[in-house]
Amino acid sequence: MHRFLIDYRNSQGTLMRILTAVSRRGMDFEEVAALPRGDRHQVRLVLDTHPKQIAQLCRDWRATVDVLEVRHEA
Amino acid sequence: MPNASPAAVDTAVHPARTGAAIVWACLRAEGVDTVFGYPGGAVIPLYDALEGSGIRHILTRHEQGAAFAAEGYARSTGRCGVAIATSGPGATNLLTGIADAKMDSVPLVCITGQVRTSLIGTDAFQEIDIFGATLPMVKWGRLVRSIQELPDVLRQAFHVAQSGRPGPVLIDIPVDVLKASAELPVPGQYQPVRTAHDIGTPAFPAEQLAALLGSARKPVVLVGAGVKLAGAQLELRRLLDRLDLPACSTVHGLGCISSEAPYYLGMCGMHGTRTANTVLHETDLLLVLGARLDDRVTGDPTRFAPDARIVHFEVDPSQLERVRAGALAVMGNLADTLPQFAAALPELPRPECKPWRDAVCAAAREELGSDGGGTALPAIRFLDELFAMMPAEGVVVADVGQHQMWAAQRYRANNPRGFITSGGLGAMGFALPAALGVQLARPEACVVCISGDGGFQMNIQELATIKRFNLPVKILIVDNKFLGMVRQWQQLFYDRNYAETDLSDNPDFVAIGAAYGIESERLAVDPATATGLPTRTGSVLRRFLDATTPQLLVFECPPEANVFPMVPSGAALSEMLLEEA
Repeated sequence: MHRFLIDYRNSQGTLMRILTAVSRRGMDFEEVAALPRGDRHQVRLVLDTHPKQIAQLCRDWRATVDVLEVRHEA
Repeated sequence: MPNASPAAVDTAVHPARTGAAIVWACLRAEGVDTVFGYPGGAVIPLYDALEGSGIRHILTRHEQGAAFAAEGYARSTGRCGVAIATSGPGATNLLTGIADAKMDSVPLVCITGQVRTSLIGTDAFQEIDIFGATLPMVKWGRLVRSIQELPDVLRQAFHVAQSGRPGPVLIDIPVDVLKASAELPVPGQYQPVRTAHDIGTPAFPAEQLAALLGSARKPVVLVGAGVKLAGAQLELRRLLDRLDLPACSTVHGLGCISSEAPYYLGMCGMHGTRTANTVLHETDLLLVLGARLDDRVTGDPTRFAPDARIVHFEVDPSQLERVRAGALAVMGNLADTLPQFAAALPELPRPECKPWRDAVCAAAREELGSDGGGTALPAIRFLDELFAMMPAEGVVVADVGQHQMWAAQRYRANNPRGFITSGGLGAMGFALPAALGVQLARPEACVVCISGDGGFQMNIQELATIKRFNLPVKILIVDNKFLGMVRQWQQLFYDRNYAETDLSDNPDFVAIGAAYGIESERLAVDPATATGLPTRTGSVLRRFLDATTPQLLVFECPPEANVFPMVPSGAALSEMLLEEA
């Protein structure tokens, strides 16, 4: 399992776009938790991914408007 | 609220305006002079305020036509296209155009009406969650909740659509917001704020590039749409002239490289030239300039350029190493990074590759200069004759199918916006509405719309739009009475099982054109001539191209004609088919 922490501005649709980057690949969410964190929001995702998907997802998220920071933890 | 920096306190007095009037004022403030749309209940207030807005509205006959026309406008100018539709079915009819803009990086702002705020979520008449439906296919979207949001939202919409890698944006406006009134400044106060996807312009990696160039023996340049999106074609051509390395182009990069350049290898990919595909397979250093290495370009990505180290010049970080690991990423807008590359050239080693370079360039010149000899298909000969007669700055807008690939292979575009087609999505029905958008954006240009008989019927209603505005679009239908590209695959890979691709009961397109008030004519293959073309082809084409009114020309040709070379799906570029077995 891999954990991803994504900081984002809580504008309309941003969280949904973060999640659709996962769902469009037919992946299941093991865990999703989104909470305000200071002046931004953070979503914690736990996914069963392989290394190539990790890089792809991180690149997709970083390219999403209003995503501020993406961190991956094995 | 939009994520803007705090604005200075606005103390000016602003006129009281409806939301609808504010929308038109915001569009004017963004430099919009033309929009494409189709009215309906939820946008009547918007249309009620159109008069006096200073914006020209082009009424299409289907919202999909509006979206494709706005795309054609944007693709031919680099400016943002705008499409307007009502709620519900009007909005959903925009979806294909939005997806097309997403795949091909086209700046597009779509404005949809929505049911009034109090009805949202009740499955009201003509209510659809278009914001939710477009989430995966827009760069950004917004359901406007109050008139106060409008100026900032529209300013942000245009910024997002046109910045970085361009793409579509959707703004959904409830009808009560359009009817409301407020005193608001236009344009809005939105200021862009840096996020994770803002890459800026990192330092140019000259040292790393030097190491790669110095050791390369078979280097090649691959040029994609990013060059034209950055407006960097002049910088590209100057750089390529100095680099003097073999260079090929994706379908969206056609026209970025001069077709007369001695190093030009032609288009690469699924229906690219034999030389370009062979070189891509054999290269040991691949410089990718603004291309995303789509599977139509790479063939099987696991076997693409197997010996190559890849240097990827790219503005969108999500496209890096998407299909292949790269040796070096040069992030930034090509308008910045190409001049940096050129400035660094005097200090960079030149690859020692002259014998190989001369050989591949010679092979390319021979292949690109060939007319196919006696085996050239009538459709190809016809297109060759058409293209030879077109003015140098003409624009070809191609639909999707065999005709598209033949046109891409044979048209020698002189500028990056000279060949326009739906590439990433491959949406049939694109060309006719897109061509009218191009003609409106470039009224002086010779715009030739090339479509197959299948795709032409998907947005045939836009003949009415073309006629209403007397747009001198030259519409060519390559009529083989089949869904030709699908038929080709069925012939080559499915034992000629032509399931559901027979269009032999097509209507009389000449009669349809005439019914729309458009001058229409038909030519058919003449087996009695050496070329297969009727002897009057030249005079017909001359009249067709010189006309100042819309024209429709149907070219009837045999169905069993195939596009070669062809890289079968899942095959490597080295496994391309050069002719029928």
